[in-house]
Amino acid sequence: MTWDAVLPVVAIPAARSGGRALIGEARFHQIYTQLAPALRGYLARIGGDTTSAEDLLQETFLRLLQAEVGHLADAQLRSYLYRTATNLVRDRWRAAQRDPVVATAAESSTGPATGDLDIPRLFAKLTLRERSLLWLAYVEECDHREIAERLGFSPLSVRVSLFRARKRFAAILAKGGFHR
Amino acid sequence: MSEEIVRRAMQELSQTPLAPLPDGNRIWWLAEIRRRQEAARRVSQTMTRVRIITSVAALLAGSGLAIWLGNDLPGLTFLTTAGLLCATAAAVRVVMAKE
Repeated sequence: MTWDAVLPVVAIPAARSGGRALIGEARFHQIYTQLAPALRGYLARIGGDTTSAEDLLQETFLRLLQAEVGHLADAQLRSYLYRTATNLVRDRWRAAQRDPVVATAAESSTGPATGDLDIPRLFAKLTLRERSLLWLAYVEECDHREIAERLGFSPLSVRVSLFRARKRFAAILAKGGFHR
Repeated sequence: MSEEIVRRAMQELSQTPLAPLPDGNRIWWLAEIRRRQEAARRVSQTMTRVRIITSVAALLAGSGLAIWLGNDLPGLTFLTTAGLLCATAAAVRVVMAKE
């Protein structure tokens, strides 16, 4: 069965001027298999809400598929995905600020506690920017340049912000009783 | 010291189990539907513009014709011309309301 048999026949431009094009199916599946697991973890933790991480992951990839980014290399696509994901989390957080019901739901779904301390809840006390920086630096082990590319900051700004985020999280952990 | 504490906390955080990944094929399908909806929306927008432009052109042409004929035919008066204009304007309004 072809797409034209299933959906209304509307011409979709496969390629646009300047060599820009949409991502093809084979490349999408390759990118999805390669990047989705890490991006899902990133969204679940920096968003502080494991239940909406799937929706955000889906929306991130849907935006990738609608954008004319087929000409970009894999590393650039990775940065594109992380920037989109971070923006979506930020938008969702702003929406939650306006709607107390959403905010309460997000707070109550930060996931199960790890060990005897609830690290996800302590982590959620950081700002979105701090969470993003720490996740990329310590879990995905990105260097300053990579973090800057993925978040759209300057490398110098990453260095300073990461230092502050680390210091703040250490203080929150110490206050919460994490001394391992 | 803080570096080590943060590193350990982040390691523990990353080991928290998460739900399985959504199906990639489903996302591809959804994207394909969105693309087609977007393409259909663009086509519809273009058609609306063309309808408006043709209606306005018809309005102008009708007015011009009425004025031109009004000089030669005694039956065409100012009121007839105004009526023609109103009818065309109403047709434009109906086309826009349908969209």
